[in-house]
Amino acid sequence: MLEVNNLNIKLKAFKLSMHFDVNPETITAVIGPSGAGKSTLLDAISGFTDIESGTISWKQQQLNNLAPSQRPITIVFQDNNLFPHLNVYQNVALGLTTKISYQPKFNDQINEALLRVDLKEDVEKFPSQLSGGQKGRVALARALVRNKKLLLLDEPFAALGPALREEMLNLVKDISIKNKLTVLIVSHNPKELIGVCKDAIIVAENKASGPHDLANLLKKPPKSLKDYL
Amino acid sequence: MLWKQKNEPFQVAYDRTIQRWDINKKSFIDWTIICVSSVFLMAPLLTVIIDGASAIQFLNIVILISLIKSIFVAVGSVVICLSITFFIGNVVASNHTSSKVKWFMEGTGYFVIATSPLVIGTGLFIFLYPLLDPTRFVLPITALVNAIMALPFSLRIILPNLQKINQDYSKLSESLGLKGLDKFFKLTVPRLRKEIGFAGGLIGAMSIGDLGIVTLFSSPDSGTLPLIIYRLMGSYQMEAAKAAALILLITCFAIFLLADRLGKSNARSE
Repeated sequence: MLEVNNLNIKLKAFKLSMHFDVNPETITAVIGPSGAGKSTLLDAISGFTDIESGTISWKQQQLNNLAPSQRPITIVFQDNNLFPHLNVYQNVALGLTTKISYQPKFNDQINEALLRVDLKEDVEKFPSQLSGGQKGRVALARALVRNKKLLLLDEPFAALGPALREEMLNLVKDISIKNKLTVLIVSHNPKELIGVCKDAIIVAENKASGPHDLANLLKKPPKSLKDYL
Repeated sequence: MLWKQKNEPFQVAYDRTIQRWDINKKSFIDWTIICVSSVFLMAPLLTVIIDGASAIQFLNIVILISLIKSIFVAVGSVVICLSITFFIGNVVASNHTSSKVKWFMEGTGYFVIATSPLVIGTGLFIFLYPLLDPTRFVLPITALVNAIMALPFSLRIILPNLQKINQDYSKLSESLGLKGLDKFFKLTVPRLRKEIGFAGGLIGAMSIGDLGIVTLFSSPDSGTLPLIIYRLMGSYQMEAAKAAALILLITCFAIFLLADRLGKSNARSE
């Protein structure tokens, strides 16, 4: 279980206090109005934001003082997930090793991940030659080889069309079940997530709380979410 | 206008190039400015080329040896200057550096532009004289001072792009644990090939044509190419000096072009 305990964050004039749990091996939606701090929440969990007070723990292990790369977390950002000068294979390989030298021992693992996300044909391509959906798949393949149990998705599919978005969500669902991942996904389209997520975390009015039942939330939204929805 | 270069793609997401529709119009003003300014630039260069070519048989071994020395000095300057640039650049571009340190580091780099190489050279001479014989270390000292003199330009070329790389990819690198030399060779160098090539060419060309500090330190029987030209002119060997000047001009261009091309050769931009 991911436990976020009275976590407080202050970024210049912006404040966010968070208190929520995330059930293991589920996909949890993070919803709330624009600018409420959904990305900040993911940043805080993955270690990109200074914390004023409170704790983050995963399976009883405190994460507060770990560097981003040492946390059991893979985060997929809104953009700049891939290095443009590296091809698909090299971008995925970065999930396993950051060393300069080529390491053939990782070949099988990388090819397997690329097969899972249906990019087997495109290993030699560069990010500029890929479509938006394919870029998302590369980032997911890298998440697969990293094999961290927490996967944070910061609206990575926001720029895709509805059908493709659904396809990507299903891929995430599929991967999370097979690899036993706990997923947090930020979305501006909570209705889309109904088949995928059971729980939701609400980020609104400088607070983040949860887990709430997503279906119930959408049926009877609280005051803080009503206008947004 | 001049800054709307056709071959320089607009860098947008993932290195894609955008078609520019605003530069296909013929511009009379542009061409006039370019032609007029090139007259001022080309006239002295042409003189060197024509006079040098007619005196090429006066080339001698002293000139060629000094050319090799000059090339060594230039290569040394490029290496030293780029090292300092990336050292300062990494501190300045980092998210973890306080703004005072950034200001100090960057300021020191740019402050050099206000000082003359002769001043730095004299200072170094006074400083080194009691410790060692400066004339024995002419070439390393020249390379070092030339590197420092080129630092503001090199910083100006590399720093903004280094900051952009940091802005775009620092989170991704941190989340993957990409850091140190691995980050330098896997992220910084490939993303900055063009800038490194351009800066390297500029530093090399500036260094090879420099006639500053070497005049203070050099012993009478040695020296870099510009110093040899100066000495030949001083002893009224004008023909040899013309030939040497032509060699200097060619080397300068060659070094700049070579470094710049190397930087662009494998730079991907599609």
